[in-house]
Amino acid sequence: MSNSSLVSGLQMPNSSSANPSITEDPNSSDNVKPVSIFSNDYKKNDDLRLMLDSNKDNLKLDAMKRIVGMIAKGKNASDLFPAVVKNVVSKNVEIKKLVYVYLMRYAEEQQDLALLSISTFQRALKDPNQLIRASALRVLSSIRVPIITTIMMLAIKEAVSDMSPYVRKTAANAITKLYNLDQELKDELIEIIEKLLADKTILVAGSAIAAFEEVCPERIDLIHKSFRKLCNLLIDVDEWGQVIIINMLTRYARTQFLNPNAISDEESKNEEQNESEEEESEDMDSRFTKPMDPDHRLLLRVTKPLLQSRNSSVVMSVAQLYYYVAPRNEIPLVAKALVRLLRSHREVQIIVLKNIVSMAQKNQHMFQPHHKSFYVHTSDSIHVKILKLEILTCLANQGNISIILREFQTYVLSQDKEFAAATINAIGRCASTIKEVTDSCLAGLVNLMSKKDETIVGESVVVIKRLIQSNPSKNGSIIKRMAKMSDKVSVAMAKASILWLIGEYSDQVKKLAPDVLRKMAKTFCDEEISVKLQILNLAVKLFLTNQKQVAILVQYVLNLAKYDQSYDIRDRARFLRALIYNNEKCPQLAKHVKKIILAPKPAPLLESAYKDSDHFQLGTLSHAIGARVNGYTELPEFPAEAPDPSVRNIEVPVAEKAVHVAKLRKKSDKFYSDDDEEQKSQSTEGADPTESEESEESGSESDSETENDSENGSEHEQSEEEVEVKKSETETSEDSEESSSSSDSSSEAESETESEQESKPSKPAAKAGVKPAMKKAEKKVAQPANEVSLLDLDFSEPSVQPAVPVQSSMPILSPSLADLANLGSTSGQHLGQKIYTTNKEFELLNKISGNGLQIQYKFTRQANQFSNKAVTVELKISNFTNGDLNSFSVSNKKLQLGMSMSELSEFSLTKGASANQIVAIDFNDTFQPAVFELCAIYSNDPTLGGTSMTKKWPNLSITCPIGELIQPGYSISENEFMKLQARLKGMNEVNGFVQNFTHSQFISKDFGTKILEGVNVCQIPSSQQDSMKYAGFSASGKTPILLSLFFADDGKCFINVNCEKIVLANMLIKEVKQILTKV
Amino acid sequence: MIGGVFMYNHKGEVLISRIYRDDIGRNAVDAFRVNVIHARQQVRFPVVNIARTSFFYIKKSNIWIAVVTKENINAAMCFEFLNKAVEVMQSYFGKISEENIKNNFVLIYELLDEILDFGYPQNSDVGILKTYITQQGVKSQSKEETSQITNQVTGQIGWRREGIKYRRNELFLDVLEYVNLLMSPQGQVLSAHVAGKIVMKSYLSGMPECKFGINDKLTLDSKGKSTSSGTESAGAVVGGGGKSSIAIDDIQFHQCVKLSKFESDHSISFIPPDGEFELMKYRTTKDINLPFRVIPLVKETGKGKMEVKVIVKSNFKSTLIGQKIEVRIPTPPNTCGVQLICIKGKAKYKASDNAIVWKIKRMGGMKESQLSAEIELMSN
Repeated sequence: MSNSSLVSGLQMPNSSSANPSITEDPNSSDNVKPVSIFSNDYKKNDDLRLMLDSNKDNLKLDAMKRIVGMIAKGKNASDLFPAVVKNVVSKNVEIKKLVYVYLMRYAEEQQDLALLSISTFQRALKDPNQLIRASALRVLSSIRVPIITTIMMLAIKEAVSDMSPYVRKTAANAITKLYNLDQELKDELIEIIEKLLADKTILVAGSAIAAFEEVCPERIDLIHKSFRKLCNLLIDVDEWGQVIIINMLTRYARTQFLNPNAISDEESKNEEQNESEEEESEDMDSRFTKPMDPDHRLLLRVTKPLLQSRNSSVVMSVAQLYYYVAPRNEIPLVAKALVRLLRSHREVQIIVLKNIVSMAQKNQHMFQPHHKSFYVHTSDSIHVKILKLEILTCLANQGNISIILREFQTYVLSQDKEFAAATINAIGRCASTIKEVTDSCLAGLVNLMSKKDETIVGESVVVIKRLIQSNPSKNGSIIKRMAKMSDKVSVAMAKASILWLIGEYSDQVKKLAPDVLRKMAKTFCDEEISVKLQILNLAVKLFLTNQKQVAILVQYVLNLAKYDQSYDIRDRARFLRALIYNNEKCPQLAKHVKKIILAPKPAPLLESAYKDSDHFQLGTLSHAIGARVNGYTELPEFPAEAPDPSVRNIEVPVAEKAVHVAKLRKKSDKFYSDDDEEQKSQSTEGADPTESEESEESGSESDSETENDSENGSEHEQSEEEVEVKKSETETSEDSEESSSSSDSSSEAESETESEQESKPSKPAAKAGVKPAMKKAEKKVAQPANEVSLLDLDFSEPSVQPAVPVQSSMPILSPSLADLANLGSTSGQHLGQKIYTTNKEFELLNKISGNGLQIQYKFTRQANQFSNKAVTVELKISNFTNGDLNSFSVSNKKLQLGMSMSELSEFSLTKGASANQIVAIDFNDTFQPAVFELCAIYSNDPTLGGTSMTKKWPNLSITCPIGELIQPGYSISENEFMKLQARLKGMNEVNGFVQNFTHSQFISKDFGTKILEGVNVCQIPSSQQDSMKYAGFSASGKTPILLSLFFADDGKCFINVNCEKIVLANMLIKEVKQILTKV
Repeated sequence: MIGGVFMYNHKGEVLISRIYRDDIGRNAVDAFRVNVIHARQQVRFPVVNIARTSFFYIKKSNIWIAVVTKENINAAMCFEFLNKAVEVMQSYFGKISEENIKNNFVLIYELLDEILDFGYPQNSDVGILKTYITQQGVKSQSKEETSQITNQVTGQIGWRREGIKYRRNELFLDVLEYVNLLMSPQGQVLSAHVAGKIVMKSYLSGMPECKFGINDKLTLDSKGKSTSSGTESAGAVVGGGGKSSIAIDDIQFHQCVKLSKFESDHSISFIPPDGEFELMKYRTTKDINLPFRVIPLVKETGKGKMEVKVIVKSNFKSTLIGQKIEVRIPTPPNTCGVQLICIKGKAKYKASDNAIVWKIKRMGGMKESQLSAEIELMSN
């Protein structure tokens, strides 16, 4: 294009065209002409204007291209504004685009005219094509005209709820632009950002966070709700968005999570000496006792794969996230990725090296395995060389020092003097930090002094000086050698250093020193200032130690200095002369003159130039240039106390609630370990965390399940959330069991468990399940199909069923408040009805033997509709096949006489899905297994090609453990118990005992829990000391089962079981023995 | 975020200036020219801070491209963006040169507008940009076309458009490996690593989901190993010849590879972009068999004269052959004459590169070849 000629004319001001009144006239070109007569170039401008006014698109386009060309060069094209702006309505997309470009650049300068174009954008904002809507918003928001902020605000508000995520993304970008234009809109914009943060599409996430970071980075509370969503989306967000999000999440993690290194920090303080031990990362693992917040873990987990991103800035962001947020033993993960980045572009390489320098200073071991990657190549630029040298120096330890020193030896020979000098400095640092090599380093450096090159000699002398200073006594020979070469060295700095050394340690070179001074006195006049000063110093020091030999020489030197050109030298000479000669006038000074001049000096520390380079947040611009940049904010320190993790919970539409008594003692004991449980259970509002280790274990199990789920599911957004709900539900149920049972055996604080489907008002029938246990049997049939509806929602069964409605009024209380309230309201109640379930899962069919179908079952200890004699079994059926399974049915039941089993309600499982099903089995108080066959129709398998087939899984057998055959007998009094027991003597009584039992075990709270958990009998208040009584009924025959335990002083615990059914009694006693040995 | 993008020619004349943010003054353009381009200092740090304004710059064949900002942004991102921008421009008009930039600045301006929105980098995939930023001036698009473009620009899979059709579905794979070696003057290998990349050319219809495996069995084995040892290193084991496996230190994937899947089951699955792209890069440091051994012998025979002898030994199996071998022997800058003798191939002294370039067309495995040179030096 021939723009260069036309451009020159544009620099002239064009007042007439800037006047809107003229330009609105379509014939404006006529009006302008008289002005343009003065300049030839103006005609060309006119020519552009004419072209723009024509009705031919290609002419217009040509003109626009030339104008944009002018803008691109930074030349002024503002006088064409009116002519250009008219074309904003053009139908041609190409022209339109260029007009947009023009508008963005010049709207600011011609605000009134710019307004003319606004209506066009407003129309475009309603365009059916999302791309046009987006670009209209983009341009509209790029126009820097304060008057239109209200229009922009309206447009953004509308776009935020647009159907298209692309438009929403553009709206997010527009927020920052609007904010920059008018900061007063902040509050309004925050509201919009809040809305965008809730957006679930990957396209929006990055821009929404960018807007957040720009407008209200301090409102970290807005992130809570979307934290998990962001983590899960992160991997799919575009690379630029990832950088922004990770950066924000780093800050978030530093404010919301506890320092994962807090414990190891303390420990490492104790063993600071053996740093080598810290290298063992596995070692560290075991030391971690404080569990991390699961969200913290989630963050680290989702960012890890991003280390493989092709975008180096993403890798850098993750690296700094790990550096600041991860436990120390996990930080080394990023080392490899960073080393890889060294292969990337030269500039990136420098940035990465700079960051590695900072990391290596704190975490040496992390890069030690990679030290070879930092070897300098001759083709590296000087910055890279110096940085690599710095890293190598950092990484040097006893193990690799010999290899690194050998490298350094070659570097010293490098053509690049600056680099060679830096290497010598590095050798010095290695020598001072690693004592083993100090001597050999010194020897090497002394050798370097005989090199021809001045810079090398100079630098090595300086380094040697420092090294000797830290340990002068051993190095007499080196000082001697240096003294000898003092007149050969030509670098001022080096010479000065040598002279200083001789003066300082003149006692070690007594003979040589005066001679050196003599030689120096000869050349004094030609030396540089720094050398002259040191000659003076040397003279004075020698005068004080060896006055006889040097007195005249010193006089001579001082005289020379007296007439020196530099006043510094003259001053120094005058001062020193007064100090050593004028003893009479100032006797005090004379007394101390030796102390003053020969004062022992502390050895200098050889420090890296990059020390404290991690002062700024890694990866940022501030870190790269080592200076605070506009808008730099310190990364906050980890909080001392964990902020409430529950804020990240997302409220789920269907929430089950369980409120129960918490024992404050337990809570305070387990303050930290509760954390992860707590926040899960609290997602269901108000459930309180008091769990024993067991529930923690199961918690982690379900955790890992979720992981699997989310990985399998392609749309992990949804599945994740589902799982979350699921998790929290199981958690709650476990929690409540644990706490209720643990409080069970203590007589003063009883627990009252309650579960209530409050958020499901459509099922008031749930409350019908609230029954005293004895009555429950009769009412079972009448109980509504509550479980089934729950199953439809794919939740695990709520295990705590009977509820006392007293507490239904406190669902909204915060957990801690609810605790308190519960304490008050329930402590006065009786040992009441409890249903206690084990969450023990048994495997009925595993994935492999079941050809992809997996069935697990557990006993829920709940009433069922099938029969009051039957035991409720919950099957968890998961489909891991490649197709769908439909119409499951049970067939071919092989049951012992008297046993019966309910049918399955028909259901189907799509690929990868799982469902819970309830089966009721009447075992007739026997231990015979219920054997049956499961059928389903298999379809949708790609290998089947559209056909379906019937699959069968024969010989599935469910056996019932003893505990499940018993139902706890709640309302038996001690009297009744005694009566029954008296009746069931002799044949019906089975005895046993357990040895090595202690009294504390016997009265421990766990005890009752374990019994209830294991064999499902409930405790009866006992008046006898050291005895406990439990009662229950067999499920099918409803025969009473009585269990009593006596503690004898000799460490034996006697077990008594009274029951008509001997088999049951024998099995029960076996089971109880086992439980007791485990307590 | 990024406040502006500038491009200069080698003289420091502004070719392109695009300012996105209000905090960047128009004089920033000059500040960079004066302080960096016209500065005496040869090698400068690639980030320069002038009067509270920071410039990140790269130089591509005489053209300076700088990103300017006043905020505290991710440093690596700026360079990543610059390189990406260069890549985009190169795909549009070839080499970055003053002339090309002058001829295309409308296009560049459009591109800059597209890949940066208010300083936030946006989708910069060349394939997509090309669908709606074209060089062919006026081009009316049919409705289907526009809707297609819309879909792609706004879609979630940014690197592939829908509705691609080929008569023959083809896929090509190239494995390129670079051996990097650092050797001491004594001939000891100090460090060596292989940086490899897998370049794919895909001509496939529709939205194909591809899976890429390198010796599946071994990959599985390694997975078992890594879980048992409990280390979570990114290392995957990829089968080499069959018997032995090669431990890969580090892998880097193209955007299209599902990283989460790789993390979970070490499978590389992706929907490929159309045309040529780099699927993955990897690096390995263990068990590197160097294909060649180069033994240099340098003797200073007198003042202003030196003798160089270079022996190249091929270290691979004798059944294989190496092709287009090129050895570069750097010479001192004050070289004034070189005499070369070599048995195999052709050798030439290139004064412009300060090097002797020795080219061998083909060379069998376990062979040896030699070059000797006499170099005359100018005395200075």
